[in-house]
Amino acid sequence: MDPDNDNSKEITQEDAWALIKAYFQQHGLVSQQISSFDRFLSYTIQDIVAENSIMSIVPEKQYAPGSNENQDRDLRYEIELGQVKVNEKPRFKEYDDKYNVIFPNEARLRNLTYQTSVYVEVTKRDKVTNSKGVEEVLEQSKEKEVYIGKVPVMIKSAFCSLNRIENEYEMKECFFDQGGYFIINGSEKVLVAQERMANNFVYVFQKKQPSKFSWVAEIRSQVDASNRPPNQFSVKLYSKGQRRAGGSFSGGKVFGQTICATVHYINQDIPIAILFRALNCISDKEILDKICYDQKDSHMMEAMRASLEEGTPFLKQEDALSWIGSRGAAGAVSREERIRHARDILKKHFLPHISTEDHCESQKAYFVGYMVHRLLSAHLGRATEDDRDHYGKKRLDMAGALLGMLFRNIFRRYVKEAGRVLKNCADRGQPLNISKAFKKDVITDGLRYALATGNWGTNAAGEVSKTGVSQVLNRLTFASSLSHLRRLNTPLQKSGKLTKPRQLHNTHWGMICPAETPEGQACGLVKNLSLMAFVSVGSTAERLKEILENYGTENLVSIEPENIHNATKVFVNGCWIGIHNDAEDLISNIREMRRSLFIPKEISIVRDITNREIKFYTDQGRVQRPLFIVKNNKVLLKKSHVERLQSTIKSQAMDFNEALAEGLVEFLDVEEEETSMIAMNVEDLQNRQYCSTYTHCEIHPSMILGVCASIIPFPDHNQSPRNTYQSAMGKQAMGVYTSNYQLRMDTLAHVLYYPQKPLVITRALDFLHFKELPSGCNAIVAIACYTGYNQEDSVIMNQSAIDRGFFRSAYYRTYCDTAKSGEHFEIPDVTVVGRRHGDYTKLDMDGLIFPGKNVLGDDIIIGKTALPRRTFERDMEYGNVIKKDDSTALRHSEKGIIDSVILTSNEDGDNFTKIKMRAIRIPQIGDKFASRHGQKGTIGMTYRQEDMPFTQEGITPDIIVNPHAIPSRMTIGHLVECLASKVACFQGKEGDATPFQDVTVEHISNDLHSLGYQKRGNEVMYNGWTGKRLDTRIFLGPTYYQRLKHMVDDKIHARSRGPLQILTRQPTEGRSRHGGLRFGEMERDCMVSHGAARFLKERLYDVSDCYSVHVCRECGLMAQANVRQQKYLCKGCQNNTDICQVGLPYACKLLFQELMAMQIAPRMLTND
Amino acid sequence: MTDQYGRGLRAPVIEILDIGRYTIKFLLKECHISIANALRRIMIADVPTMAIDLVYINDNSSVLHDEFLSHRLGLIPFKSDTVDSYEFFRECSCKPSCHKCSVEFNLRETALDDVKDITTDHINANNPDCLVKPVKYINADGNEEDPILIVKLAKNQKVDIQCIVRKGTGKEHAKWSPVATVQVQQMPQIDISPSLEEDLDTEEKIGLVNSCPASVYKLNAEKQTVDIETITDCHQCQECTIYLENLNKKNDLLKVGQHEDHFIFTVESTGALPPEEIVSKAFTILIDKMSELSQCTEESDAKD
Repeated sequence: MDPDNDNSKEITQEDAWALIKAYFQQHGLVSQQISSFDRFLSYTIQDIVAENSIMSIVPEKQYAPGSNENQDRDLRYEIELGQVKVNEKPRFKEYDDKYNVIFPNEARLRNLTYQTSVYVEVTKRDKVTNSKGVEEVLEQSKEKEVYIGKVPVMIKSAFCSLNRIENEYEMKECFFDQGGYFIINGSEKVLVAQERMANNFVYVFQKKQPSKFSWVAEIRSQVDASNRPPNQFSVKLYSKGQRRAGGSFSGGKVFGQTICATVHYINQDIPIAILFRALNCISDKEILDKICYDQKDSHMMEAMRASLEEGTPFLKQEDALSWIGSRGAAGAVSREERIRHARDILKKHFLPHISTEDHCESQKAYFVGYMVHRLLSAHLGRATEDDRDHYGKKRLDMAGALLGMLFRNIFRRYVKEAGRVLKNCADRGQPLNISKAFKKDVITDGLRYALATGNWGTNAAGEVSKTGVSQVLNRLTFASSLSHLRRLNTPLQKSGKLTKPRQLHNTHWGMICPAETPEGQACGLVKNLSLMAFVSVGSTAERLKEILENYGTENLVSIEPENIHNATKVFVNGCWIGIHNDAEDLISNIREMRRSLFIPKEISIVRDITNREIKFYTDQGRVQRPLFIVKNNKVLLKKSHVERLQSTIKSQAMDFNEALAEGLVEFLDVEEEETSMIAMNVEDLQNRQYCSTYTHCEIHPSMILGVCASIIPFPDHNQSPRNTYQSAMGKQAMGVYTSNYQLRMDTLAHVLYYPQKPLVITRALDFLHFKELPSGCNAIVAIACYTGYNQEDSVIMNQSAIDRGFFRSAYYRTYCDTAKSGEHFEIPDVTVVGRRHGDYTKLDMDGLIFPGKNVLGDDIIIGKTALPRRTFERDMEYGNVIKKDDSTALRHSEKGIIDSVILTSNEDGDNFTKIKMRAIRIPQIGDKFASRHGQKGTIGMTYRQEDMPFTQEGITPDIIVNPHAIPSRMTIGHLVECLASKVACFQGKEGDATPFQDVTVEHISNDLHSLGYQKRGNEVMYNGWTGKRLDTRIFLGPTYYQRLKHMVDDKIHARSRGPLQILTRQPTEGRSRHGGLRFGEMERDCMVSHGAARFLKERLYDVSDCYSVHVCRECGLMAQANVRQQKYLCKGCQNNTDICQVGLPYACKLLFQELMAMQIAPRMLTND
Repeated sequence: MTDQYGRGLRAPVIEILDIGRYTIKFLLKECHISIANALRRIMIADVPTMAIDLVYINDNSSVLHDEFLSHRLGLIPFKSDTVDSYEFFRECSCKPSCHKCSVEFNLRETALDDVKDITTDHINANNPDCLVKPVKYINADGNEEDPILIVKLAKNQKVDIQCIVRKGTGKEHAKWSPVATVQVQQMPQIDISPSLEEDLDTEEKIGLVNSCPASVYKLNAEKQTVDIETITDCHQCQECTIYLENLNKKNDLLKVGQHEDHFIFTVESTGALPPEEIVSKAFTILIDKMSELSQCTEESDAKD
């Protein structure tokens, strides 16, 4: 037994929830976004400024006749950007120059951007090179705070104004809002995490034959967290019988499979021996030492033979460098120049993650050797191909990283531009005006543009490189907002038919929700984080390297190659730094340091025993999750700790961080997880027969699910696609999307009248605030056939229940408008041109409608007039201006009541108004509802209480669903939920539907039996019309139902006649434009196959764009016609007699005229 | 023919089992199911009561918007003992409204210093002598219960509402239904074969008793017989017969059925009308409907 095991009792699975609660109290659900952003604004921004900190301005020497003063002086200005200062709170400068702290709600209402100012300390040095060639500083001046621009601030981050406010609701914020998004021009934007392949990883792939190469080992090397594009380097093994193209230098005498390398900036593949020689490994022995760590490994030696032979003509380092240099971009230059060029490339652009300093050849040679070793191991069948989809090799760029990339690009451009302005100044001999050179809007507008449109950065050609990075936060339901903030996107061609990256991978366990992903094109590419998944923020590797050195890691530079075989290789962030002789000891030491938070908790420690490697990762974007630490098959967290976690007394209480610091739990990333032995639950640890060397234990298996999947009760009883469907549908459910919805002006919002928390819920819902902001009702549901009005996924609903407020909801729509210069909010009088046909009488004196007014389709709600474009004051005085109407009308298909009106000014000081309309939506035939199991349906019929089937107790169902919805879909969870709800209802308790626990249907059934009901939930029911008993017993009980946003009132549409498009004169498209219904290709095909030619002509011509033209029968072109005067003329032919009328679609006439405009004459030849 | 329909000729009997302030329980014997069900349906949908039908909102600064508030007001049950003295709004000859078809109420409250609960107590009739008024519930101990909460007003919020109460039926809107629900139970009939005593061993008998979720059966320990304890609790779930079926016993040991023309009614009033009133009104309406029907059939017969 463990001696320091205290007397406190072992925990049970139930106790894990105390820890889970502590985790969410500390981290919330959007900490990945917020911590990433905080790092950006507190550190990354400073790093980026430091990267581009020094500007050197050398004035062009001007010839000034007469004055030979300073002529021989080499003046140089140096501008250094130093300390960055970020304003603590977002402020907003009003148009009248008042400067106020703003809060998010104000930014939302007034369409402002929630952003804070950034200042930089600028030092200017005037330097002169004196006659001795030494630079002297003539003058030095410092400007403390030079404004460089504004950066959008994430809500609830360290820089948000809400940070210092105790009660969010005082600032009109939602009590449950978690932040994690930005407000750009009044709209809430989320930066969706972007998934990418990790850099600095060696991947070995087998090439599909036929191909030149059989195996390839590649690496995308990038200096830690820099924004330089990664340099690809690969080592390739030729296929059998493949000769290298143009390999004439070896005379084609080499037999066997050779290895070559592809280096960035070098146009040709380099034989591996040449690369080694260029890296100063001259003899074959030296090269082999780097590759075959085991001298007795004859197989690998043999595999290298051909490659070494290939390198025999180049035995000196200079020769090799010259060979490489001549294949670079420089081309034909002198040998010295070539060698210098090759050295430079190998230093700066070859494996830059190892080093870009001088004297790094040996380290790089070791690394190339390691890659060749991996390649040959795979080739010799000792190792398998690497898995591209392994989640440990993926990194997530969160908001901070994305903003960092963007800021770096913009800042570089900005500094360049500033340099140009300063240079201009200097050239003219003017003093350097620093505050003028640093433009005010470049950074502000650049960041704002990217966040507003989602177009993330531009490449060299000026094209948008990524789209859809920034999205408007989904505010339909609270859960949908949360889920949106935890979304991941894989920027991959959505059309690509490759299925591998879309599939659920083993390594997604606990990190990525297995259920929540969209259907269709983006399936599997858009993912969602699991509840307890956390994304590393990143830290520097320097401190870790120091520690490693202190703990006996031998640096690569100082080791004997023979020692490698018996030692363990140590990698930090993919860079091989040395070897260690006692891996076990090192690992346990470093692990202890992490468990005591001596080094950051997010550093991952991976020990690969088979390959004798230890890998450390400190970079940002790794997905991690907390696990219980297990020692001697016992969880270290004991009952005493649980008591402290639950304690409300401050001095005794323990939070999650303390649990980390005491080494009870730790974060593991995917790579490290793979080298651990993790028990599924606490009970499994007792079962020593299966495994007695557990290292960790799952905190709770239900934590593998994401936000939307956590809402599903008993998901472990459902067929898996049903959980996916529900995850998508939960986002369309109505509820209370935020507690401050009355104070917000969202373009579209639905609020449920009497939302209820579910009778049966999963434990995870506590942390999602689903109980406080629910999105549905507990309906009494019968699964039955009754009258047949619930066939094909429709449901019968109880009209009396609807009368009593069941699933009633309010619908809000906001209209907004700005009065730019020349425009005014006023009631447009009769003199105004272009008046709409709507009702102007509902406007108030100020030109805006007032709250409480009933409005319906096409009513004018914002009256606005605009002066013609060129209006002079003189015209105004004489009153001879004719104003144009530019009013806003209500959408023609909607009606409701004006809820609220605001009139304020926007950023430019223009008058700006937002008008919120409200309508009540009562469930009716055609509205859509769904349970929490992917079972959706529309109302097919409503029956009053007396017509509904009833039980002996007089209970009538609210909803009757058809039993055919169950067997093929296998949503057993739906039935179990109903049963558990029934029990919960009678017991007056909340039912527990958390997955992967040992509640069984039998359990619930027995409870129900003891409550005096048929144990499977069936009940005898009677027909509502006849009173006769129904032959079958009906499964009846409460089930949580959601009302989905799709309602008939928003869809109903018909048209007999209506508006036409101007260009083609065909009917307009879409309900909002009162459009026609498309008679499409398939409908056309159907008519063709029926031979219904006249009908087809009617649909496609008579009721669409029927038109007729007059055609000259001489030339076949369209002629002039004046039907009233009976005069016809073809101008070209001077023909006014031989003209006939032809009926054709207007679109056809248009086409002919367009063709004529491009010198093609479509002639219509007519017969009698 | 006469066999099936002739049964209706028997005189039905009512036996009242229990009358409470809000519920009545009675037995309807010797009555065809169609009559019993008609009675149930009429009680739910055809017995008229009074409820707020029209709301004028002069001022509303509460958190609930106007429609929400009106909906809540509409659902408040009103004491409707005098419904018969009012006309249906649509059948009334008056122009907009008159005292024959509508009663006016008002709700004018302001929260002056703290959060204020606006309840049915704050609804005042314009005519103080009016007998139609919001229901005040009295609990089992005879004490008055808290009035129904309509909305909570925060400081300085105000509501000023005028309500028109009208007569209506549950057919039009559920708010006019005088009952929460009507329970109708056909009298269960359980025949235990005398051979059951011998065919089952004690363990199986205990199993049989436990199989019933409603505890209808009781094991008589002395005589080793299965007795019926409370037959009215049986809800025809057939668990007992299924249990015996699974034991592979002869299937005539136990027969669970229902008495075809015995009904136990339990009427739960919303408080708008006393339960016995609802029942008697329902009968009157049923008779009216019948006579109307017979009149119509006579007329059509005359035409032929």
